[in-house]
Amino acid sequence: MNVNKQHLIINPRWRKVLRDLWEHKARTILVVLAIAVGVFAFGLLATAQVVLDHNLSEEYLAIRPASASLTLRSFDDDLIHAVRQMPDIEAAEGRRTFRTRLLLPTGEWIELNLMAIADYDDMRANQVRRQSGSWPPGRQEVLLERSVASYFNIHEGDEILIETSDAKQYTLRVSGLAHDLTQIPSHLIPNASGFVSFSTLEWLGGSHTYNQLDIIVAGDRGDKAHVQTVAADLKKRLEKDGYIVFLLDVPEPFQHPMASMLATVNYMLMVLSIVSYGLSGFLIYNTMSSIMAQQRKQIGIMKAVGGRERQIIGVYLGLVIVFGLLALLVALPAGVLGARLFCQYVANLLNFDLRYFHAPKWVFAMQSLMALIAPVLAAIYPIIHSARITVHAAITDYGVALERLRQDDLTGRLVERIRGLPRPVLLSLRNTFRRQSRLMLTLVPLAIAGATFIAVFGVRSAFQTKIGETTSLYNLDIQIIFDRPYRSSYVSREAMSVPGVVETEAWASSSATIVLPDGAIGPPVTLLAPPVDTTYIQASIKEGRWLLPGDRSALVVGEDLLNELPGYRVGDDITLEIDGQQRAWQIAGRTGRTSSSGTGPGTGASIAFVNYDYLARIQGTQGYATLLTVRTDRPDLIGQEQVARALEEHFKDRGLATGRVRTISLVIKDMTMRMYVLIGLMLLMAILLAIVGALGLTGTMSLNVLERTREIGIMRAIGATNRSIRQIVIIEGNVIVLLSWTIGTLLSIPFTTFLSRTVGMTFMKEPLPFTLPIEGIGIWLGLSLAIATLSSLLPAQRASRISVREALAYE
Amino acid sequence: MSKAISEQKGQAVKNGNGVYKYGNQRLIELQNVLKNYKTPAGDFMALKDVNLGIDQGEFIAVIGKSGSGKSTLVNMITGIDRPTAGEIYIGDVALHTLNEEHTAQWRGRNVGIVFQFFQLMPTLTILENLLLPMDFCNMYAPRERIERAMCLLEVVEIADHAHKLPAALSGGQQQRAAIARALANDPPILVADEPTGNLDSRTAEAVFLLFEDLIAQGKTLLMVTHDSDQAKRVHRTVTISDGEIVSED
Ligand SMILES: Nc1ncnc2c1ncn2[C@@H]1O[C@H](COP(=O)(O)OP(=O)(O)O)[C@@H](O)[C@H]1O
Ligand SMILES: [Mg+2]
Repeated sequence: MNVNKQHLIINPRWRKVLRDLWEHKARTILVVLAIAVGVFAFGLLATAQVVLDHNLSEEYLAIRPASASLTLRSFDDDLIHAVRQMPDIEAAEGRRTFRTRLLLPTGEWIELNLMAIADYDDMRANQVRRQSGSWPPGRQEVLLERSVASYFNIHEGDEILIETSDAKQYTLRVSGLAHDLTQIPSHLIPNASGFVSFSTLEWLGGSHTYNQLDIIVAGDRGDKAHVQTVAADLKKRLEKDGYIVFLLDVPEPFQHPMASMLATVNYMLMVLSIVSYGLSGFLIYNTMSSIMAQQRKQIGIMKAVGGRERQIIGVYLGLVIVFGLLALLVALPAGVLGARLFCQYVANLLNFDLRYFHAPKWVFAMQSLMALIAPVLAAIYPIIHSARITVHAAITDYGVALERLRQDDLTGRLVERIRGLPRPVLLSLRNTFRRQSRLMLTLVPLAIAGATFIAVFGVRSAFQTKIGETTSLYNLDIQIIFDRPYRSSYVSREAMSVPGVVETEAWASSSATIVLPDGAIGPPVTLLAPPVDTTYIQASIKEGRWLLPGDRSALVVGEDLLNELPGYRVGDDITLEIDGQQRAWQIAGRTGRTSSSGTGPGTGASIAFVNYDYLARIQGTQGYATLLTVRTDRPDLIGQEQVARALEEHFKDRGLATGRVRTISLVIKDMTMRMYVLIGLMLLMAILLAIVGALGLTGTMSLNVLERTREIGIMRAIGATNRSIRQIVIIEGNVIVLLSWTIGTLLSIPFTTFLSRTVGMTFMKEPLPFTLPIEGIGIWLGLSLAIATLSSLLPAQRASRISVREALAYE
Repeated sequence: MSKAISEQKGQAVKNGNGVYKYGNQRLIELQNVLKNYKTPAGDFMALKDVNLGIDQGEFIAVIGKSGSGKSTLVNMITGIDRPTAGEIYIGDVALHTLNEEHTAQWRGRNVGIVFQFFQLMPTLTILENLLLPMDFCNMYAPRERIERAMCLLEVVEIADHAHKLPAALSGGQQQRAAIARALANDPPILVADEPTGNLDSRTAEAVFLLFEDLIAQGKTLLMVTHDSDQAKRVHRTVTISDGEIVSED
């Protein structure tokens, strides 16, 4: 009596539900997948957000992050001890950073920032952690940051060749790896950092004093204003005591520099996942409408044997709830697994460890709700509507007969057409528009997927435009930054002797800090001072004017800087502190983006342009250059890099202290790389949307074929071949997709505007310009046609297998 | 077929004065029933002022030409369709006053319907088809239901096919299943609209014998038929023509 036991557990109503699901496996899978996609993506992103935030902040807090960092010319242990005694300061740590460059196994030179740490076992702030190998590093040894090792493929025990700014070369042994969470990892900016002892530093020709002071303030460390006040006070005190403070940096308290960017990316992706979830409702609506139409007679029978409206609604709600539960069954584990992979990827990218992975229960709860709510909401109308039908209307054929009549009429007209000339395109068109609400509900998800997809390309183009703005602002190929001023005529002549160099221009430069009206420290800014008649800068002035001859304390700033300084406008006065001295400047003009390094917060100071004459005069360096700009005859990155390397060699031979030789092209390449990470993630989400759209299309095509069984049978009876029937279905799919593509392209305009603004504000602190993504529109067209073909393949196959007998038996 | 499939419990009975709750003296009473259909060609009067009374335990045949209104008449009694005017009393219930919901509930427990085209649920097995009415109307304890269903299937002699889907059965077998389903909730009244119209004469005879057994057990049975032989074997024949009852004997 096994069977009977089953009957006891599951009553016939639910058995019917399960049978219906099982009978139409393809349909069930389609609906379940459509719901699952959104629920899965939401689960993945919500879990990832929680897990990443938890891991990152935990790990960040564990390294005792500095509340503020000051860059001084030089100081010693006495100062550290004095600072540690101050009541407002809880901890202080002194270090020395030392710029060198490193020869990669590929033959390429990259920047290597060495940090000398006095006591590796007693770091009071911004702790560097031991990763592997020896600890602390011995003489002539270096601990490389672990991301450097993995990104550049350097191993423990390797010997590396480095070169200091006075062009001397040294070999260091990589005695181990360290982990510094405060550094932007090499995966994101291809620089390198390493850690040495002071004795190694001295061997390298560095000084035995510190130049970086990291402090943790006492009191409310989470209050940025408090930190700023304490740090500014400290800075004043140090200056009063005769120290030269170059820079004061106060990061967001308790927040890893990348945390807010990470949260924004995650949030944007989450919005997309919720959209894809919402769109799956359209597929459910279409499917349920069709199911309910087919169940007309069965509803009648159920009512005839005593089924009440409420019970019948229950039966079909049960069906959609099972859809939801099945979707949950897929989405829950897939979401956790996806979150794990995603977290691993991000942790790797941002160079932190994933110590805890714990999918929060509220995410499961949300997913469960989502999986059940969407199907029920989407299906409730078709279900209630159909459950209202009277037994009489359902069982007697009077209601249906009228519909049949209309259909026969249509079929008749179709047949006529086929006799005249087989016109599959015309037939397909007619089919497409027969069920308009279903068509709409199929078009919308596809169009939204398309608009999103195109918008992502729009953001990419906008990024490229911005990067292009930076590129065209600098009408030069190579920048050479000197560690100290050299005679302009001398360095120019030397540079010109290097093959490939066409022209040079000598600039002055300085780092400065903005002093806000209330005396607080503002963001750092790099002053670039080209000669007043320069052609190396082609600023597009958005407001105000460019520098004029005779301008003294006039500044032309980039939008990026003004965005960081709400309240400042063109024409305003602004106080800058240079080498410890405050001066008033005027903002004369505003250009587009200037910062060459930033596609993320905390990745570089903004730039302001000033007149060479004035800056050189206040620095006492007239006729001298701290920066030499170079134009070459090489059009491409590789050629320019060659010239840059040759310039470096040449200056080294002359014994000049060149801090950095950079090609603008390489800087652009770095920016581009980071941009692609973001674009890639967004594209992934757009593809999820497209999957939902494609599933919807498949569903619609299947329903259309199913409901047209009779019509197809008639066509077959009068001689339509398999091929021509398949063709009709496939062309119909393509018609729908082309329509959706058109709508998607139109929709992409507001989508692109919105996405460009959001992404721009997050990553560049300014809205990205709207760019019409022709390329995206084209690619989406190609993808759409592929989706159309894939989605109609199965329905077309099914249509071509319908026999005349089957067709006539269908009701 | 000797098993008692009916317990005849909880049914409306005449009170001391021999009348039901609404004063009707017969189990089924139609008073001045009128049915009007709206069609594209204008209004169509399918039943014209029909008066009919049926006693408990009666076996009635409804005969008439195609389109005369037979189905419309029996649909009034099952509550599948509602009268445009007039009153319908069945036992203690004034059917014409019930809404769809209450009608469905009442029908499930009080009327078993057998259709010409069987109308079994195609995705449920025969047994499950029988369980469905009990489930909807919450009749009998879940344990009892299967026993009862199997018992009914034995009565109609298709117990062997209990776990098959309807499509696997012949027309006669399906109609037996449909009759068993109509009896599932042990309703006092059975209504069959051309139950043998789709069956060969031998099978039709078997079904008719089943009906006679049900009458012997005290059921009230109303059957639409074209078969004049069958019509001779019932208690009373109601002849309908153009929506009017033309004879009753
Ligand atoms: N829902 C309806 N709409 C319009 N006309 C109907 C409807 N139901 C029945 N009729 C008409 O009412 C008449 C009686 O139908 P019916 O009772 O089904 O006849 P039969 O005696 O064959 O069972 C027929 O002429 C039929 O066309
Ligand atoms: Mg009839």
